[in-house]
Amino acid sequence: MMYFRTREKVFKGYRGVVLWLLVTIFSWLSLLFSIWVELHAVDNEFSDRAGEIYRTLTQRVSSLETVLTSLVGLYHSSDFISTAEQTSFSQEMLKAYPFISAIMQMTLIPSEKRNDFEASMREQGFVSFRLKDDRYDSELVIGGDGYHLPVSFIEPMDPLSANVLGYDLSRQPGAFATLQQSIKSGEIITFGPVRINRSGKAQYFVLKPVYLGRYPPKRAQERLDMFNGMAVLSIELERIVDSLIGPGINYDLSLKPAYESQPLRNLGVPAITKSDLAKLAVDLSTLTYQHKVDVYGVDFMFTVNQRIKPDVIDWWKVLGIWTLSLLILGLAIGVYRTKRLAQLQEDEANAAIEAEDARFSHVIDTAFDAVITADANCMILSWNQQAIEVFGYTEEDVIGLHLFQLILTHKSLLEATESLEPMFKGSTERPTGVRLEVEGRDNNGRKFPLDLAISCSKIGDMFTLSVFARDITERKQWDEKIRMLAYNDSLTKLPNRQAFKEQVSRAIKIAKRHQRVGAVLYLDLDEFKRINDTLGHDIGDMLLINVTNRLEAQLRETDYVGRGMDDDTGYRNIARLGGDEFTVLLEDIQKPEVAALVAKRVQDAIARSYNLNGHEVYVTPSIGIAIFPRDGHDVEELLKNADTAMYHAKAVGKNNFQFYSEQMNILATTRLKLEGKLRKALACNEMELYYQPQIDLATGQIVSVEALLRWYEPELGMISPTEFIPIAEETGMIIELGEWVLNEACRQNKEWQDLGYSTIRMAVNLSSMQFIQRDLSMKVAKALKSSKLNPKYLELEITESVIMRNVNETINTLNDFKEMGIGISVDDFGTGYSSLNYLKRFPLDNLKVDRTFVKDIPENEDDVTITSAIIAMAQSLGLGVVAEGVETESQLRFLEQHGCEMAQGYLFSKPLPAKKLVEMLRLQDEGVGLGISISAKH
Amino acid sequence: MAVSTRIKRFPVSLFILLVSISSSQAMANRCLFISSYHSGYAWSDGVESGLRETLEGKCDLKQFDMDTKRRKDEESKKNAALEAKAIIENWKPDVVITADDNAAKYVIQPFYKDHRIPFVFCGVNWNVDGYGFPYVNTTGMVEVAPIDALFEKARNIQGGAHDAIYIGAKTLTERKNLKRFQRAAEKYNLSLEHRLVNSTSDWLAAYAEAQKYDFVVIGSNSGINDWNSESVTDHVVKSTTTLTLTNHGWMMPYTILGLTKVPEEHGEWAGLAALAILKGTKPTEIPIVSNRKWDIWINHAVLETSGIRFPETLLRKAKKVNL
Repeated sequence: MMYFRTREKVFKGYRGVVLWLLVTIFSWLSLLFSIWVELHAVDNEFSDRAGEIYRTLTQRVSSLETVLTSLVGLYHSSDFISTAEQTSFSQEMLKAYPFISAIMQMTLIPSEKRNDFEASMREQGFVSFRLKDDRYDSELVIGGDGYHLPVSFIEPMDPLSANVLGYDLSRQPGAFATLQQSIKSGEIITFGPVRINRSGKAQYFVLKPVYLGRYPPKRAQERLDMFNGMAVLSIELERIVDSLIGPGINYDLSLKPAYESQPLRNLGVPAITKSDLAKLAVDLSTLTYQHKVDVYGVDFMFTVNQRIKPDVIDWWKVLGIWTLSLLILGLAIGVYRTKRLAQLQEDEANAAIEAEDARFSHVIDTAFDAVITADANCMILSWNQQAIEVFGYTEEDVIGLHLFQLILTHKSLLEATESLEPMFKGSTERPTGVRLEVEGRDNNGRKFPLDLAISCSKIGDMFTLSVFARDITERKQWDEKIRMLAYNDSLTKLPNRQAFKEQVSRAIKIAKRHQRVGAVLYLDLDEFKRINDTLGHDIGDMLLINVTNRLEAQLRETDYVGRGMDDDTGYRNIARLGGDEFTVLLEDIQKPEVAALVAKRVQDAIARSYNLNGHEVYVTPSIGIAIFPRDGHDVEELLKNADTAMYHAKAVGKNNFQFYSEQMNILATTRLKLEGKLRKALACNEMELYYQPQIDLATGQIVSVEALLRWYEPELGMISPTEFIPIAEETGMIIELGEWVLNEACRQNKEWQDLGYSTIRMAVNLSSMQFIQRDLSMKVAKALKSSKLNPKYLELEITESVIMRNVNETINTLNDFKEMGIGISVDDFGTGYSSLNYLKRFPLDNLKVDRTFVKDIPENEDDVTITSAIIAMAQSLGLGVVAEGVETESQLRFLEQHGCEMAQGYLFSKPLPAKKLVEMLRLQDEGVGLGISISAKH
Repeated sequence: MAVSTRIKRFPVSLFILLVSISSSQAMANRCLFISSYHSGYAWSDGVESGLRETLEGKCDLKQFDMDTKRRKDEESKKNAALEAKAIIENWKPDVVITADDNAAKYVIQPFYKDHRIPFVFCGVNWNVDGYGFPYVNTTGMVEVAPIDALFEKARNIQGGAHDAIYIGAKTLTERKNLKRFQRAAEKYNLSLEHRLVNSTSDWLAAYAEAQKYDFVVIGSNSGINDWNSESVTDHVVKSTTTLTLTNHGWMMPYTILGLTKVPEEHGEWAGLAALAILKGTKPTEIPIVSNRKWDIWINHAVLETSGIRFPETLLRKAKKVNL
């Protein structure tokens, strides 16, 4: 991310503007440079070619001498040269040297023979021949005599050039001295410009003297004496220039007399010599080559110009150079960009480092830890603000002091030194660190727990210790609080399950290690749930606290109880696992009997009444004992087995203690298996209702049946309600089962009614868990509604203990039932605690005398008394009485004698499935009796 | 917009077209060539050839032959001149070129002296004094024979030659030629006799007589109406014993050595002068010149008969006459 930000910054701001300006300027400059390079190449080529042309020109100038020499040689070598021969020779020469305009002969004519010469020429056909311009006749003297030097021959002769015939060079201004010089020296001279007639072009005559004799004279005087005329070549500057222009040359060539030409410039380089801008523009746009040419005494300026036009420039080459320049620019920008990028990245990195340093300093200064650095000898290098606050020393006080001697107690100093040693050894290779919890001290001598994080790293050649120190006094306190919360029960302050398991685990290890024996007591309060449900949770909690106190008091008194924890918070060998379950750990008890003694004491201590906010409550404990390591090698196993033993204690009557045995484990396993099957029983239609008739002792008629739940498990067979009902109650499945029973019983009764049998009531038992359901009334109403059973044919049986648990709530519920028209019976009456006052207030219909009272009458006097009292009381309260468990005739007689109205029991019928009960109903409707004699009424 | 542009361009295009047409008309200058003789006459044909070659594509050339070589009477010559005049007036040439003396004498002199129509003459023998030239509207080339060269050759071949004879037709032209030869002979200190004849037989007789001279100058036979080429040739080949020379190419079958004028030179010059005039040069600005070229011919058939030895350089250089 930083990289991209850096990239964006490379050409940001004025750098971007400068870059684009540079790019633009460079582009133009490079374009101009490319053109300049191309122009330079053009200029070089131009200079080379112009030089070649110049050399050609000089060769041609040299060739003039060749031609003249040839002509003069011809004159010298021939005695007679006819005009035709002269013409033929000249024509051939002109073909060979086409840049020569004409070859002429000037003939020396002494002044006195002028007329003869003119006549001779006219005789030869030049009818109008005469010498032209004789103004200076009198002044010309050669060798003492005057002479003329007219053109007597010219080739090519055409209508215009023929005018040259008769042209007398000797009479031209300025010619005499030149002629004399040439005649004397025999050298070639140039004369001109000569313009023969109006339309003729300017010509230059290149002359070579012709002398008499076979060989040219060697002395000047001889030359003067032997002079006979001139061999002449006529050259036109334009013609020479034209002859120089070959194919493909687009140059402007000019050959002018030097005096007419501009000053010589540097070869090939445009020279700015005029102030005139237009001229300057022309100069700048023109390549010029100039060279002076000496044509036998006359200076000419040879000029070659080339206008710089677009077509002279190889634009592809320009484009190529320009592109190359731009590529170089791009490369340069790329290099610059890379360097700039690197610079920016370095700047940013430095800035980041500085910021990081600042942040680090800030962090260090504001850190909650004391941050201290020291050298390899533990001499303090730096000391932050928190270090000042923790240890009370200022930085000036401590710099250079030994860190650990300063901040640690003597004991911790040794510990720290020992711990740091390996760290120093390893620090040469990589940073190492160590964390210590030690005891620190401040400048006031206060000792406190100190957390040290020490690292050692090699920075450069120096080892540096970085120490983070924190006063963890507060944390330690919090840790303890948290530990308390994690390991203690908030209600009783006793260790919780986790803490107890740790204690037990530790104790098992010790026991194994030292061949000792210990025990775990698993204690559950009998009927605590009932108390909790009936008296409320507050009372339940108070009961638990009281039980705890009694446990602690009891165990504090025994020598067999060791301390679980090394602190002052209490006896940690007692724990509350949850609800009404307590455990006690007994370590090193020598023998199991000690555990039994402790269990008995605990049992006795707990099984006493409690006054809880005015409520007199009585609970008993059921205690399971597991010996370790015999009954368990680990915590889980041991607790499970203790729990099993505790259940066994409950199973055998509660308020006792039981040692764990393998048999218990089997039972527990069976129970678990049964619980599993029970959960599927309803769904598998394994449940069935049996009906036990209740007989009106006055009529001997079945007036009611009690619905009793039966479970036929395919694998285990018929299972007794005494086996599965407790399980159902413990697991809460009793709610579901109760609902099913209620619905099925209503449905069945309605079905019998619909089948036409005599109407009877259907008595359905309500468990305590069902009864405390707030929507019980609604569920009952729903069952009636769905079955369409008249409520008066339904009777609900509720145990005495359930009725009495919460009187106000019970009254409301019972009133609801009563309003619906449902009958209410108190089941198992006499086994619990009933208040007559309450009984009066409840809208009850019947009391059912518990079978335990009926069983031994009339032999047992107590039972006789109780049963009689119950019957009497019911009658006095206006309630009906139903005796349960009537099995013998004597029982029946007794009940009849004491006015019991209804009875049920095996004497009349055992609980029957619906089919069989229907048979009884049918027989009864048919007037067939049950086969039992109810004598009292008859 | 495009339409109006085309409309604007139309007059411009039209103007350019008209200018082009007028220019082409202006370039088609009319040049009238009046030959004194007739087509087929070697000299005239040579002149015409040089003229046409020069004016080719540069001038609309029209030719009129006066045919005065075959119709020698004065009446015919004048009629021919009138015809030429009629053509000039009707055709309105920009320049008139005449060849040989009769055209100058019968056309230019009587009708066009200092006329606005420029005239270029050629082939006029030796001088133009007889016609009053130069006029302001005339220029041209005079026909001269290379007499000096001929005498130089004769002396060169016939060392010490002194006696010579001139044989030619009895015509005005030949008289003028003879006169020139006689002047030159004086310059070369030669004795030059002459025989001007009207018939072949006279010519043959004169030729036979001439064999005793150091060399013979053969003039033109033009004007000898019964000229029998075969018999003359036969006679010459058989009877020649001395050096014979001529300036006329058509006389080479009967002559050993010829330094002959080149008629094309006249035609070319006349053409160049006509073109210069058409370009604006006044005739007076063009000098009257003479011809300068000639060819060297050797008739080996006659040479072998004569037994004369020629310099080797001359034998190699000269053209050969095929009989």
